[in-house]
Amino acid sequence: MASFQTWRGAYVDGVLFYAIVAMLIIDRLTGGRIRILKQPIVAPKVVTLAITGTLALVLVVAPRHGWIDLVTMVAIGVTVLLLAWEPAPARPERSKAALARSALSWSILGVALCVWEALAFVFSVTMPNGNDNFPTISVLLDPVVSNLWGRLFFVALWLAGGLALLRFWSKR
Amino acid sequence: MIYAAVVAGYLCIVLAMGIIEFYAVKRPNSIAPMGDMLEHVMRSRTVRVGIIAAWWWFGWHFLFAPTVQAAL
Repeated sequence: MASFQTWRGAYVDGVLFYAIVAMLIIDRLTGGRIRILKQPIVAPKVVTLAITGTLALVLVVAPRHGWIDLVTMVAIGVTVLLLAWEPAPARPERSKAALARSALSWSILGVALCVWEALAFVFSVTMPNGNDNFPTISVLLDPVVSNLWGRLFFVALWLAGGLALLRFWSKR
Repeated sequence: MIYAAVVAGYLCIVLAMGIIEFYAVKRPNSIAPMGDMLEHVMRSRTVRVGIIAAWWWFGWHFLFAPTVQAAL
C-alpha cells in the first residue's frame, strides 16, 4: 500500500503508510513492549459521542482539502492510534473454523476489491480515454463527498465504522 | 460499455460482501460475522493498528487529500 501510494504520486499517503509499517516493525522487533499510555483511555459513552459528533460537524461543514480538515484528521488519527495501541479485553469467541472461514472469505473479497481498484487506476492513467472508461472508487465517490449531504452521509458512516472498530457499539 | 463493466465489477464484489455477511449473521457457527472475525484478528496489535490505519486513511483520502488524479 505504501509503495502503491508513492508510485501513484500520493507521496504524503506513502510516507504515512511507510511510517505506520516502520512503527509496527519496531514494535514487533521489541517484542510488543512499547507503551504509549500508562493507562488506557476510558471515557463515558456520552462524552465519546459528543466528541465524535463535533468532529463530524467540523468535517462536514469545513471546506474539503482545507487546513481545518487537515488538523481534524490528524487529531482523529493520533487519538485512534492511542486507543488502538492497547488491546481491548478478550471476550468469548466463535469456533476457530467459523472464524477462519470468515477471515478467508473477507480476505479474498478485500484483495479482489483492491486488485480491481488498482487495475482501474493503472488503466485510467495509461489507456487512451482511461479516465472516462476506468473509474476508480475515488472517482465514483468524489462527487458524492463533494456534495454537503453526501459528505454528511460519508462522515457519519466513516466515524461510525471507526467507533465500531474500537468496539464502541459492542454490547457483549 | 467498459465504464459499466468496471462499475459492475465493484458492485459484484460489494454484493458478495453483503451475501457473505447476511449468511454469516444467519449461520454464525458456519462462518463468523465480520464483527466477530475482526475482533478475533484485532487481538494482534499489528493487525489492530493496521486496520485502524486503513480506516483512518479512507477518511483522510476523501476528506482532506486530493482524491482524483488525472495522470501520473
